Amino acid sequence: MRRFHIAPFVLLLSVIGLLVPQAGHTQTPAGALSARNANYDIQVALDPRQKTLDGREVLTWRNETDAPATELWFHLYYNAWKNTQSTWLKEDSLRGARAKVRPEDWSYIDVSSVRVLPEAPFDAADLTSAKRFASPDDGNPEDQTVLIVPLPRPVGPKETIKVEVVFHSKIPRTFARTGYRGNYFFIAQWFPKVGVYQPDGKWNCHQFHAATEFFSDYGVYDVRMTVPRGYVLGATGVLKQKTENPEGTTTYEYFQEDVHDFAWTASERYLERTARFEEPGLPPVEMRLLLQPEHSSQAERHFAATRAALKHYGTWYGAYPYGHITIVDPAYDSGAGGMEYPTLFTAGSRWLNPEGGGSPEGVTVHEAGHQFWYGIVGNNEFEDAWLDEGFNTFSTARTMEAAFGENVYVRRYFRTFLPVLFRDIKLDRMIAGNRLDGYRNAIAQDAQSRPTYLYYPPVASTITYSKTALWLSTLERELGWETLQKILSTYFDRWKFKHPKPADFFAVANEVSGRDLTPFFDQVYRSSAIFDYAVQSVDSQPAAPRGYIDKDGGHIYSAPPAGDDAPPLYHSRIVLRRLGDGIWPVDVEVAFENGEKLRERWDGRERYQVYEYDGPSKIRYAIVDRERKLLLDVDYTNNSRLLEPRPEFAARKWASKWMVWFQDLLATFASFS
Amino acid sequence: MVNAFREGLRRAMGAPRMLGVLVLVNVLFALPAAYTMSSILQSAIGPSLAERNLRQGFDAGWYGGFEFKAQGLATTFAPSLVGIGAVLNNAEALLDGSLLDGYAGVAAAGLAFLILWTFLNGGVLDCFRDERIFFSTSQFFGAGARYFGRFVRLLLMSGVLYFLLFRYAAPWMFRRVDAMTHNTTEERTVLALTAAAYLLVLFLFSLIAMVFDYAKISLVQRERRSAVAAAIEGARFVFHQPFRAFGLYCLGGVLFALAVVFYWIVAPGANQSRWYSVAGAFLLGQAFIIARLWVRLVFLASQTAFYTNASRSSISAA
Repeated sequence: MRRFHIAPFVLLLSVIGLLVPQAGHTQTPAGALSARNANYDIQVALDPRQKTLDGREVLTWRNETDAPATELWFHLYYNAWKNTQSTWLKEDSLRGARAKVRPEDWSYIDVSSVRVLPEAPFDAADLTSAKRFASPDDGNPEDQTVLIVPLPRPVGPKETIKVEVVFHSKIPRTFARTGYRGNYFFIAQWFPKVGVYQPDGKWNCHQFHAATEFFSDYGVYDVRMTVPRGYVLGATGVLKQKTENPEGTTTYEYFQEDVHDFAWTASERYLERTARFEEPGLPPVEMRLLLQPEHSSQAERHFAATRAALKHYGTWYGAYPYGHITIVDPAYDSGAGGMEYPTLFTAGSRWLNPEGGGSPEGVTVHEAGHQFWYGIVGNNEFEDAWLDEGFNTFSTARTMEAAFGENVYVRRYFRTFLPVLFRDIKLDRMIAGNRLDGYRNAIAQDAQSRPTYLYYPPVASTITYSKTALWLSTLERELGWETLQKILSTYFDRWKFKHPKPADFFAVANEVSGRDLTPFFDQVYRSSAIFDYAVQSVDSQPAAPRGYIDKDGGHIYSAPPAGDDAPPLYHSRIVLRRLGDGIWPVDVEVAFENGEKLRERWDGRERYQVYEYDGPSKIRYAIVDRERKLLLDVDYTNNSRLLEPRPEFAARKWASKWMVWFQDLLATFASFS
Repeated sequence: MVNAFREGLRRAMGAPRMLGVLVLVNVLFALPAAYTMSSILQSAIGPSLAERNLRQGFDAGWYGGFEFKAQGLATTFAPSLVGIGAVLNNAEALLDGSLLDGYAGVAAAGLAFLILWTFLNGGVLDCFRDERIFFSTSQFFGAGARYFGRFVRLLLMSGVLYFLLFRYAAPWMFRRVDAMTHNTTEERTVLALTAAAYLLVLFLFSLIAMVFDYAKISLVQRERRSAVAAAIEGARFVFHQPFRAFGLYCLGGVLFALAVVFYWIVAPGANQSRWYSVAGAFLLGQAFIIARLWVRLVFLASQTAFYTNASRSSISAA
């Protein structure tokens, strides 16, 4: 019998095993930061008079899963503003009436051709007639923001298909973040964008909803944009080539690897400024600012805010990898401000914008920060928007405090043109930065675990932005910043250029903290419990018992000791309440008149808790959560109680200020006489 | 016009007791509401430690919870009441035509005060009737009663015009600005047009006020029985010498603007924590109110002087 030598066979299988990617794992090409499975080569021409785009894209798409893909699903975002029947506009109407929309304000995107390009293993095929719209979320037959293109043959695991899509778009006058105003253009969500194909063989390609943003795979973008000569253009990526065309146009070619979106802007009015970010331990970043002329004095403020974001986010979470960033100061009332795109973002300022009020620094830090949460860690903004908005709101507040200190209250008068700073009214990070007021005003809301696109639209932002930032701040105070920072940086490092889900973050949080934080996340994420702890009462009475005391087989009446030589002894009692459904352990501080302070730790589970003390001094006050760790507590005023309160002085002080206002109001009414 | 303004200053400065009465009326009218607000704030602060922060400054965290629960009069309390904010809040409400929006109780109080001021105007104009200022309380209130009915009729007539201005004309102007700037990308252009619209609203407001000021003056000077005739006379007077009439009004406006600017500079903020600093801040606020009421006297006195001079000139010419 011939011997069968197994060793070489095993060796061969091992080598094959190393070479074949494991099932379900995204394969990152050599040298790449991301999977680069959705790559776009796009040519587009802007007609500024007609407000249209004519484009041709070649999508090179690789199936990263083990499930064959029989269709391609595309987002057609511009159709959200095609007419009032779209899902986006129907949901938007729940947020209140929209100003009158003129005929030229609407938008659409028409796909006139879809063809498979011949590249092995695929033959050329014209799929134009087979395309159809779909409404996977709400079944709205009028919504045209999702386009399905059946394929003549499935795209197998790890296979790549090249598809050419020709489209014509009417640019909207901005409904949300993308559009035009006059000859100012901000072009985002403008091309047919392929959805995300999941390992279960289903497409994650939601309709466009009023309360959500976007989700797509990472890839390489090579985009050539043709605009009339004289327009200054900014875009995702770096300028590769600029061509002056004989017909009076200019074509800009921009290129960027490892991003999941591409936006661009064009205007005849932009001023261009450049600066460099340098920080020890972090890679340098070239900053390009496209500025409105009337904000020319604010260039350095934009750079300072961007530097602050790159520095603090980079130090806390991980370095910004791209080497360049474009800051766009959008045109007045263009509706394009305050939005993020890979390597480019829009800030937003006003002509009169005094320092100290947080603008434009706040929005600049926030949108620059989105390069990290959303850009590099690419969560699904349709389903888990809080993973980027909440994380970024928390991080923005932290950065603003570190870089610029406290903001002060600003009120803008006369149709918002005249800003007045109230320098005595300070807004601290914990409350204002984390948007507690917004959260409180929309308490009755969905649990965070519900997919974002299903939130009730008027309150969606309070869940994604405010609630997340508040519970992250609570975690910071509970675990310490060092631990939370390690959680966030580990999560960032582990999930950069990938698509994490909430469970991924929770797993990192438990792992890094060394604690089971599940009960916490059950409260804040999986439920819509409201937290409200209160001090119901504080009381101090002389300690000696009064009434009948048993003695010698009979009763004697006992009264408190009399006379100056009797040492005072007090029996004090505090009653704490849990008024909300949320449960969280809280510290309790009890202060006595003699200066003594005691700390208790209440697990916060029962509806009430009593603490009693005997001692030589009366209670002065009791306070639940002195350090304000539980930022989700919706009523912090009831967290403390003085035994002998004296609110009169403060009340009269503020009533006297109110009175001056009221007297002036009366005088104003009198001017009609 | 300048002489009339100087004369108006002299007359207004020569009537300190009358100013005192007007200030007292303003204070006494405001006190009950201020007491109510104090009670509201006491209740909202309660026994909590927020008292300490609010004593020393402002507690934005406390305010968020207060604002969330606020109803009725409490809704009128805001951090922008501090310092010049008190004045700007009301100026904006006036020019935006939103004085009657918000809490109905405050609007009702404002309208009641307007009626009261209409009564007091009679005493003021009677006091400024001629160059010799004579003020006695009985004469002041007696004149107020004597002219009240006719002044109320003038108020109703002007009320119609103010209603048309703020409910229709002003909104139409701002809509025109929006339409004209629909595609404007430069904020300064929009600001300029918006400022122009505000100035136009202010001009029309001033024009109506001026016409009816002269109507009241004419009514007092000539003891007219007919408010309609007085209104016509007021309009005729203004349109007969529009530049001088409006120029005089602008001089009064400049005086008011100076008072506002000065208060903007000195107005106290939020950080008084001792009774004397709180009292000082309150008194500064009262000083502004007094200045404002005094400027109103200057308006009426100077317009009275202008009217009587013009009347004498036309009689002489005749």
